[in-house]
Amino acid sequence: MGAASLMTALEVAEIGARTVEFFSFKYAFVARALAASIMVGGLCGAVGTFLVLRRLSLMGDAAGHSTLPGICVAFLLAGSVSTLPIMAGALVSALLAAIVVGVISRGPRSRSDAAIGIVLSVFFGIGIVLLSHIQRVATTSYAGLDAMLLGNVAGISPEQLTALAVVTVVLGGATLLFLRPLSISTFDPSFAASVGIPVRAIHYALLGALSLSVVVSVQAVGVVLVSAMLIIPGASAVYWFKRMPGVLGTAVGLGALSGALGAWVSYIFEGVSTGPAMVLVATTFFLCSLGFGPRGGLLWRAVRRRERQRALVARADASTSASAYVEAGGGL
Amino acid sequence: MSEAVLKVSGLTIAYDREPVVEDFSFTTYPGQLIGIVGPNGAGKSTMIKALVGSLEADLGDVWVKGVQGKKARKLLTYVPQRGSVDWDFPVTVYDVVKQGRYGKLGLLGRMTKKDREIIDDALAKVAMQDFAGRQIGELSGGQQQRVFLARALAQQGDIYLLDEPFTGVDAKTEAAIVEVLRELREQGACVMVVHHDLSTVGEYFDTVMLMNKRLIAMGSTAEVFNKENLRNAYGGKLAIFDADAMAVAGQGG
Repeated sequence: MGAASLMTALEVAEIGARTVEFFSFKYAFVARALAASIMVGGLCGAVGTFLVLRRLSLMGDAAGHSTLPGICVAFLLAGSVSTLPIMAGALVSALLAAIVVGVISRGPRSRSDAAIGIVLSVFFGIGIVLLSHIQRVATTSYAGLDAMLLGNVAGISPEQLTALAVVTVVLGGATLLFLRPLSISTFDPSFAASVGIPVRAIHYALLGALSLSVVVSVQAVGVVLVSAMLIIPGASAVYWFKRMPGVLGTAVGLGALSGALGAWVSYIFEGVSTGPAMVLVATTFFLCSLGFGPRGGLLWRAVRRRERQRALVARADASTSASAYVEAGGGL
Repeated sequence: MSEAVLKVSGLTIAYDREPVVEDFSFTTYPGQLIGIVGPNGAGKSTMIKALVGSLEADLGDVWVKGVQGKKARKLLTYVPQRGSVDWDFPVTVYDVVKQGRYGKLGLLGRMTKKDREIIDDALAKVAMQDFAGRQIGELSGGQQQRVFLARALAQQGDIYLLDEPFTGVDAKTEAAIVEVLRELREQGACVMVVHHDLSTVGEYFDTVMLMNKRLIAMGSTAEVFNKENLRNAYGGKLAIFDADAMAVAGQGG
């Protein structure tokens, strides 16, 4: 028993040391990883809030998975994991997927959820086939490509970080600038169109923003789990605020915090990919929101119900005592 | 009669080749309170959506006070069906009414004191001022409909198109909405309302538009809201309404 607690103490000391190392910015790659994680979390949180509110959450899943074939093709063409070709490939294939989903769902006989399901699995399937092919003919240079699956934020290059920063600033600015039309067209599209808001253009712009965000995020979280970073912060935030600014701000904050804590967890426990680590942190926040969020959280729902029951019982008591009083021949 | 506010000519809208609204032409004037009546699937909502620009018409022209296109649509005030909206959305009653000022505020315009007064007035007109801070999902159906009406009032237009404002609302709200619409008519507005309850048509509207994909008849309620036109609009389905609807129609003319 003594040995066991000694080991635990050692582990704790080790974790502490690595934590200090992580937040000390002693190493450039650690600082880059932390900055990237925060930006990925915040960016995905903002874009994802609109997906969640428009009931397009699955679109985030499709966008993430569908980048894989583009990444692999770009690698085969360029012959290395250099940043620009990979990003271009990812973007092309994400946009292509969005277009295919649009085309299938527009037809009279199709549902958009089925379209998303088909596109997601077909694109991802092709991507996996290409990835296995690349691994089979592996040269040394393919290292890093498999990190795209589950994310390795420590491997982020300065170019990738720059691209991420640019996209974050541009999309963040655009969200603030267009918050009014974005909110109105999400809440009530027919009214929005009637006051001259370009509803369809906004829809396509949002899908474009989604593709861009996914492309700059996959290095950090991976193509499989980027959808979670898109959906979970927004889905958590609606439990806390009744107005759009609060919801959006909370989603960005929770996303950024999940990113930072996830990167920290994966730094401490070597071998844990950053994607899953961030998602687990985000999920913890979601569970707290579901449990304790004042706007529809489980605890508050239970409290309200109790109050309602108590009020009903009190009313019933009052009426029985009143009738008892009358029956007893009481007067005023 | 005074100058026409809305002039529609040959409006045609098709889903999948099948026309839903066919060759629709009519004119409306200031001070009219118009009931749009017809069976389910008659294209009432579709027609209104095409007028306000939330749906594209395949053929036809729409003039609003002599202008066409985008400029024309901005002169129309639209109240969509209550069911077309996600009521869980994180938005308060005040925010929704504020949306009515979007046309004036634009992308970044700041709300002035006057905007705030307009919003407060609109809320007061529908007796919802005490609910301004509520999230809209916490309201009853009737309250939600009144908030929609307040948003329309905040737009301060004079041509209103309301899609089924009385569906799923309580009697008190229905009376309150009718009151507001009458007031608008007194002020010279032109108000068009998609309406389902044939028994109240005679009481609420001075003008009736009967439609079933095509325009069956339009004119003063007394002249147009009669058995023959109703049968033309509803076909065999009319039997259900016969008793009470005809009583009213009989009163009218």
